[in-house]
Amino acid sequence: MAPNRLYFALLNLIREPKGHIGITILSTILIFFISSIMLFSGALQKTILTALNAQPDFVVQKVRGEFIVPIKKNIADEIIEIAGTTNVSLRVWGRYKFSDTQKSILIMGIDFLDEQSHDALEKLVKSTDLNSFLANRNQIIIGEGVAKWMQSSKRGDTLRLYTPKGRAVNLKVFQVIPKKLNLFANDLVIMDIKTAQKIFGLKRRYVTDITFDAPNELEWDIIPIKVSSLDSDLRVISKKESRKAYQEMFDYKGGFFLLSFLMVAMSFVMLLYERYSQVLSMQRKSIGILKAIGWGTADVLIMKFYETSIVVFVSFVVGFLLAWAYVFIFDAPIIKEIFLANGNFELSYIKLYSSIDWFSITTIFLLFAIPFFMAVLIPVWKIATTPPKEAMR
Amino acid sequence: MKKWLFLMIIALLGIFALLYPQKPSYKNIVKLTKFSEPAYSVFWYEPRIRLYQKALYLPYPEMPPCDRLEFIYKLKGEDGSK
Repeated sequence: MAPNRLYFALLNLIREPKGHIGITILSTILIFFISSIMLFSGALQKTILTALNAQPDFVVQKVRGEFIVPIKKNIADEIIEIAGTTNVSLRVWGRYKFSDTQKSILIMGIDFLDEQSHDALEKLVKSTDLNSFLANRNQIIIGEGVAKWMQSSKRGDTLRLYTPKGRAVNLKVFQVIPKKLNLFANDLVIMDIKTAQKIFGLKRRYVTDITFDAPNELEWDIIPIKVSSLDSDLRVISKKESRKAYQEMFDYKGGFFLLSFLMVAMSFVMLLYERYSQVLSMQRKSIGILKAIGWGTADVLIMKFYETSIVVFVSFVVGFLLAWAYVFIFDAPIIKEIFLANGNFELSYIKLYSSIDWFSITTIFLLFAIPFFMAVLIPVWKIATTPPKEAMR
Repeated sequence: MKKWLFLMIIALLGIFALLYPQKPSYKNIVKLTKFSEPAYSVFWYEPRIRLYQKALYLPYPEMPPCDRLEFIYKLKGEDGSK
């Protein structure tokens, strides 16, 4: 019986496409918008959380009034002494703003003598001439966004930066980081730690922060306490805290979008109710005929349920797949700018994890499908319960 | 004909979505810089985005706090500046 009803519903839809085609297109657009936002947000979250795994377990900073101040290098030696810590590294970083163009780069000073950094650099650069890069402290590795900007502003392959005392430091570009890493490296300028110290006006014995790993997770609660006691105003940020901060940020943004979707969905349902009331008032006569030839109210409702299911399913699948292509094949042109901005250096290309969050998809489907069915079936039920004689009049 | 072409494109997209998962690797760049925060292309100073400072106003976390009084805390010789 069910396939016959489904076939009848399909024939009904084909016979009268005008009543449904507009609603199907509108539903597809609605699903496309919300799915592309959810897919992009989910993929970004997944990409960032995966990248977070490669980050050191702890970052130690000296703070004063919630503001980061440089930390003495010798604290790193004291951290090494604490049992359970490993891979202690020094880091100098900060933003450098070009007042003429209002663009800012993220300068990252790295100690290339550190074994871990050296290995990562070897894998990243893949150059046969890495030794020449390490021999000259005034060579830099830059992100694609910075490279493009240097080309457009006719700076050639030399970046001139100034120390706080006004002395110019000319840095020669050694290599551009591949564009597939743009998400993390677009505004990045990697240089030797000593050159970075010079640009930020730091004394040799100071760095921005210190990072270290603690392989045993059971010690993650006690190690920050031990490190904090090494000096006053030390703040130890664990990877767990970073993860939590990301979760909160994405939950907040995701919740905000879900709320916006609910509001749009509600207006859509009202529109649907109105539209279907009109369509069904025209079909009143045919429903009356069906009832006169022996159909019950339940049969009419089931037929309309099948009809609506086809519309809901088609618009959901088409909208979702178009959103998937928009995000992962066409690189989400407008949404990318909403999430990651486009004011500094243009993020021309980004590569995200194509993760599909089934929970979000189910939520979208239910939030879309249930009100849709209600908006269609309630007016149908109203008509189907009227006596056939009256309905056909 | 057009309908079939449209259906075929949708079916191909579905197969592609299921069978072709992208898994980019950012491991090396994060291991080198030790930063896992994306390069937001914003004009303003963004330490909060780098997760090393707390957001004061959640809907606009990039907003710099106006009550920072950085200059008070910048004591000569103690902040590492020459």
